[in-house]
Amino acid sequence: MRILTVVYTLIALALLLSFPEPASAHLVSTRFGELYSGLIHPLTALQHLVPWLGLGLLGGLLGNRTSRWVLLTFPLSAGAGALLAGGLPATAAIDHVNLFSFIVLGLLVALSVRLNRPTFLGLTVIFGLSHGFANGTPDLSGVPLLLYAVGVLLAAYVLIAIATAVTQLVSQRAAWGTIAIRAAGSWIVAIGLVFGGYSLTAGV
Amino acid sequence: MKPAAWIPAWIPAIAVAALAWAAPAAAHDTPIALLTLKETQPGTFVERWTYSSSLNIAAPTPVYPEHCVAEAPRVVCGELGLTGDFSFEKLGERYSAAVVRLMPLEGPKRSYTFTAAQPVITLTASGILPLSHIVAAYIPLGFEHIMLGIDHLLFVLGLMLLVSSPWMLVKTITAFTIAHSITLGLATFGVIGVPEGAVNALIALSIVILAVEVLKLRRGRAGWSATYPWVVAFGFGLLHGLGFASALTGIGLSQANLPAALLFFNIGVELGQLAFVAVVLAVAWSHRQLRAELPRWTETVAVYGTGTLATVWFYDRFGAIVAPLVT
Repeated sequence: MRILTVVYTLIALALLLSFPEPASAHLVSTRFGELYSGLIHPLTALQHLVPWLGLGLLGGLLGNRTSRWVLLTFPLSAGAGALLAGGLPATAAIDHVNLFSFIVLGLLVALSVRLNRPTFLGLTVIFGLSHGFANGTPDLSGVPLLLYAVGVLLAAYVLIAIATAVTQLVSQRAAWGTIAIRAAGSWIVAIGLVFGGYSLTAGV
Repeated sequence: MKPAAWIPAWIPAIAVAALAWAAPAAAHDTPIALLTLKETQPGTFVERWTYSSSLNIAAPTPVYPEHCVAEAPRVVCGELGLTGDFSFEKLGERYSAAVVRLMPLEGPKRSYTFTAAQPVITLTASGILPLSHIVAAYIPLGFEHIMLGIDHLLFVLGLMLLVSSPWMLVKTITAFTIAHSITLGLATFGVIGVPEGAVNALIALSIVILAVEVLKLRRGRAGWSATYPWVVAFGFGLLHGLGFASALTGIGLSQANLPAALLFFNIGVELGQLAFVAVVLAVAWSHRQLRAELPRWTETVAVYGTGTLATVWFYDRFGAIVAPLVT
């Protein structure tokens, strides 16, 4: 926990220091500001929302010692991915990785695979970066992009925290819990296959 | 009374403090562009823009009904008058809302509010607005106002840290809601009027006071504010209601639309407030469930940070009031 404390404090410090006063205009001069745009975008897009829920389900099945690290790795990776998107050209490979995340995460949940911590955290970083990148936009640069990326980070943090905790509660307290969660995993695979098929035939 | 450990302060405070740092002293500015259309001859109008945004950014572009010919500042609509579909381009990107105040040669003045959720309004000769328009325009406006109002959110967060049980939280948030609804209504109907600058400065001060009370509570010195947090919520809620009113009073709504607009604006504010409270509670619960909690000193730092930020806002806003008097 001490490590988490230090890292969280550093995050808070970094966030505070990364918002110089001139950046403030962007938050109030736009409708919800870039921060709110970043916050809302992944939560209103099926291609992000479903795999993120899948990651939360997987984390919740793995127990406290592993799952709580996802609160750190996934949001930071998603935020970093959104920042990278501002400086790098868009590539179809990212969309393919995101489609792949449906299948991988859904299967891992459906089969209730007990991943070890490094593998699980590795997946959270890879998919965090890819989904964050897909959420990013090259139209923003400088501080607005940073605000947008922080919004993506916050969305990832809130969604993963709640999904992981709810999954853990359900799997521990209800006899049918794990079965229901594994069934949800199979649904994520099915959604991924439908969505992937549609996207690939549409020329993603 | 034990400190309010059931909501770890650092969870929401880190996020909100980051947001708060990003927002300027005039944090709860809801930028609204006002377009006045005065009929000078039958079917001919003259445009006049007023920007109520403190940032004074360029106005959104109006899209008049097809039969109207716009050559700024004149708009010629002919015999049909200003009727039909009226909209604004890219509304929501720079301005929260645009208000069209129509001053016909005959008949009462009318106001129409456009938002990103309600970008097109079909104007009629009678000027009567359907209830659906008011609902679609003012609920998002109220929701947006509190979401952009980081200082309001910080105050609600402070209240959450002050209470020691879910039931007390319900009572406290209810007291805040009732109080700000009272002053929001009184200010919108023009019964009371308070200078916006002074209200904003006092709102910042209310956060400072609340942060001090939270710190005292966490040191085991529970004062009357921790024992009766709903009294604090009600008292300062009256003040925050005046702040909410600033978004409505600048619009210049017609008396006919005012009651419904006020009602749905307030509903939007409440929905935003409840959404914020729900997210904070959900995240706090998640951390407890996952046993991902931090030492107490991090919580203290978060509360100090929030109080410091609000103090800076207070001096900034107070300075904005005093500066013109001194120079």
